[in-house]
Amino acid sequence: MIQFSGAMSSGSPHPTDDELLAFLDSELSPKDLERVRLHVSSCTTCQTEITALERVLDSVQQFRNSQVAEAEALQTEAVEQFHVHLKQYAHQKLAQTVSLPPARETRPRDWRLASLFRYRIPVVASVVAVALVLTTTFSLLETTASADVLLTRTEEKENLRAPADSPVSRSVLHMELIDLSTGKQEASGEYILLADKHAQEARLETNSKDRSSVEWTSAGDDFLGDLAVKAFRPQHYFDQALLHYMQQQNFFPDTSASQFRKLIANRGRAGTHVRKGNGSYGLDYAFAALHPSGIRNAVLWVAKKSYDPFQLSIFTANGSDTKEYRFTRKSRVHEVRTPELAQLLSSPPNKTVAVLGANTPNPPAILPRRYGQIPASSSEVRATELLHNLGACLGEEVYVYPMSDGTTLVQGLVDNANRRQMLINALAHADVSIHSEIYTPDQLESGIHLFQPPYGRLPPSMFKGKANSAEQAADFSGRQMAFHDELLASIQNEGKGQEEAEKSVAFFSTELSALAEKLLLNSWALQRLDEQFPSSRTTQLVRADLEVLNSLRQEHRQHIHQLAERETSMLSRIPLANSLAQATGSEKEPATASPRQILALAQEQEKLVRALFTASQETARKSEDLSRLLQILRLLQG
Amino acid sequence: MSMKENPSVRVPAKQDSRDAQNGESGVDLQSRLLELYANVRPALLSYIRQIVHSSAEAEDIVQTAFLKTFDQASDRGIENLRGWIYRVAHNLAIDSLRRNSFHEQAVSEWLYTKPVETPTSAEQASINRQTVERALRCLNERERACLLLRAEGLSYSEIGEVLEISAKAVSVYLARAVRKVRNKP
Repeated sequence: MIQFSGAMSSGSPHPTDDELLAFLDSELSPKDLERVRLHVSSCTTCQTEITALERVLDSVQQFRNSQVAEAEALQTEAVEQFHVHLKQYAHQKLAQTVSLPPARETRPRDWRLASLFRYRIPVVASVVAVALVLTTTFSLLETTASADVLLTRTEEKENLRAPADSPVSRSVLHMELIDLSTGKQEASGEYILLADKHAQEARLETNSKDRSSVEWTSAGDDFLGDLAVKAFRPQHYFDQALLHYMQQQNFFPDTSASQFRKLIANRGRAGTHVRKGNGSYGLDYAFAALHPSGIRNAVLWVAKKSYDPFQLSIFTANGSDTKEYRFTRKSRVHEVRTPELAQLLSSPPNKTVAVLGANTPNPPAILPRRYGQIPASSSEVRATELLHNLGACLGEEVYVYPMSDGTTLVQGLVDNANRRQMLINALAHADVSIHSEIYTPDQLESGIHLFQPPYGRLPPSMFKGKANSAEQAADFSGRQMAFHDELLASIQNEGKGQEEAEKSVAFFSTELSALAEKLLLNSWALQRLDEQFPSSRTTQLVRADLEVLNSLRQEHRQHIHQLAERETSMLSRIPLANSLAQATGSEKEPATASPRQILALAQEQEKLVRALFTASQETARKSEDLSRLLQILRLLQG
Repeated sequence: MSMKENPSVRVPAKQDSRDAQNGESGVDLQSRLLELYANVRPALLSYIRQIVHSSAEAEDIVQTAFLKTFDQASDRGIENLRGWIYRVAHNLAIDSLRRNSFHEQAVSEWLYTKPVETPTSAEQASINRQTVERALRCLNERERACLLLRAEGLSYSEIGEVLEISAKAVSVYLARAVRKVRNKP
């Protein structure tokens, strides 16, 4: 309670309520305190006011105290409870902190650091993103460069290891062929390769314990490619397209950098990549898509420190069929060309496989032989049957070649990759060994050489411009086909409208042309069978093969018959054709036409159909031509 | 009543010499908070009860305020723990009041459950407790808080810190509150 010394008014203005209150609570500034104190000491009004204020404040204080006293009930229990509660809470919090490794750091005072702290998540994310981009970029740059750099380095080390006075290298190679789609190992073997790159001579022998030793030698400009062909062509598992490429590149898989360079020299435009192995680098060179060799990529594995190449993997992809040809080098030494070695390299091999002509160090390349030169084989019949079943005999440029090494090769050109794959698959699954080299036009552009068809003469080029004959037939904008009006009238007589009748005429033309073409193709296939399997070639064939050939011929004849029948029935819609048919009906038909005769007739009927029933420019002697066509068709049905 | 007369409830300017920049170790902080809880619980509880008008709610709020303070103080140093706790508890109480509109509920509770006491002679001399309580209910949030916090022995600046207003504003609110209580019959 404040005591006042007097009750006089000082004449100064009364302090406000809040000033009086602050005066009571000693919350005034020294200057205000002095002023208010002076005023209050002499002002009875303010003194009364202060007393009233004090009374209010006291009552509030009492009220508060009573409330606190109430709240103090159960204080001990409350404190104990809180103690337990706080302990548990602290424990939980500690556990959370432990489970979250990055403990929260004290926020830094420095504003720059503070703003970094506030945006720590985006900042960290940006740093990580930038680091990733940089790492990727650098790793890309590094790997693109380093595949070539590493190969060069490997080559340099290899040259250093090969002293000039020891030109002969002796490598022990282990070959495995792994089917990656099934994971199965298809073949394996060990080879010893002796090669003298100066003398361009090489010798290869198998080192297999369970098989009899086989040896090959080769010499000349392409001695290594030649050796590869000799060694691997007889192996049924070896992809012929790959072998062909190896021969072209004069490449033998002896897991050396110089050989690897030859392999990748014509790989086309594709990337490189360095694989990192355990203590080794894999120099991975991709090949261009649809590379004629079938290679997808080739990887040369070199040791990290010594740059010694120890393994070469060639991955081929043929549709879903992917294979790895893995050549592992067991050892490699360089030797001086001793007279013994020279003899070994230049001497004919002790034993030879069937391919090699006896005692010829450099045997002739394996080439197709003419049909007349050798008797037909079972595999040839099987290949022909497969092609027939797939319809490849009807105008596709795929041929069966009996090769000089006794194998059978199916080589040819098809329209697209799907068709190619279909043929390759079918031939690969044949019960006899048939090599196939089927290409698409784009592969041909990259330098694949196709053998000449194995016939004495090529069939007439009857397919030129025929592909679009159907389109020509449908095109009535400029010219009309010879029998357009007759057909239109006949169709309109059947009760069809003008527009519908025009459509029917167009359809008639397309259909008839297609039938004529098919008939011609069947005749050609029949003739081809005769050229491929003349009676002189088939004397050595077994009965089953002969039956197959007969059934193929029979099928073609049957098709020709049916097609001629359908054409005749279509032509019967033309009134003139009916009267002509009756007029020529009495003509005597030959007993059985030979394939050659049938082909000639088929060619003529096709030409006539084109002249009469497509928008052809050829001037048609309508009546005579139609009469001749009907006659031919009747002959073909004979 | 001046602050000097009731120094025990004054908030010390600095509790100890700890570095306010850094958080405290868990054990030290626990013992400090426990001690503080024992000291201020009744006063803080009664203050919060005047805001939320519910004993149970007030008890919860006081506990929560202490646990929150524990969290915050372990992350960073807090100089004036008592002031801090009042501030946290006050804010929690206001939040709770706004969220649950306990006010009406509590008022009705108070109106219908509390029997009107017959004033005793001792209470006749001053404004009796119920009158104060009723008068306090007529004040607005800030005025009531200022008046009660003053009764808790907090200085104007400390009250300002709790309510996040200036000391001058506290003085104005206080004067207004006193006038209102005084004019209440």
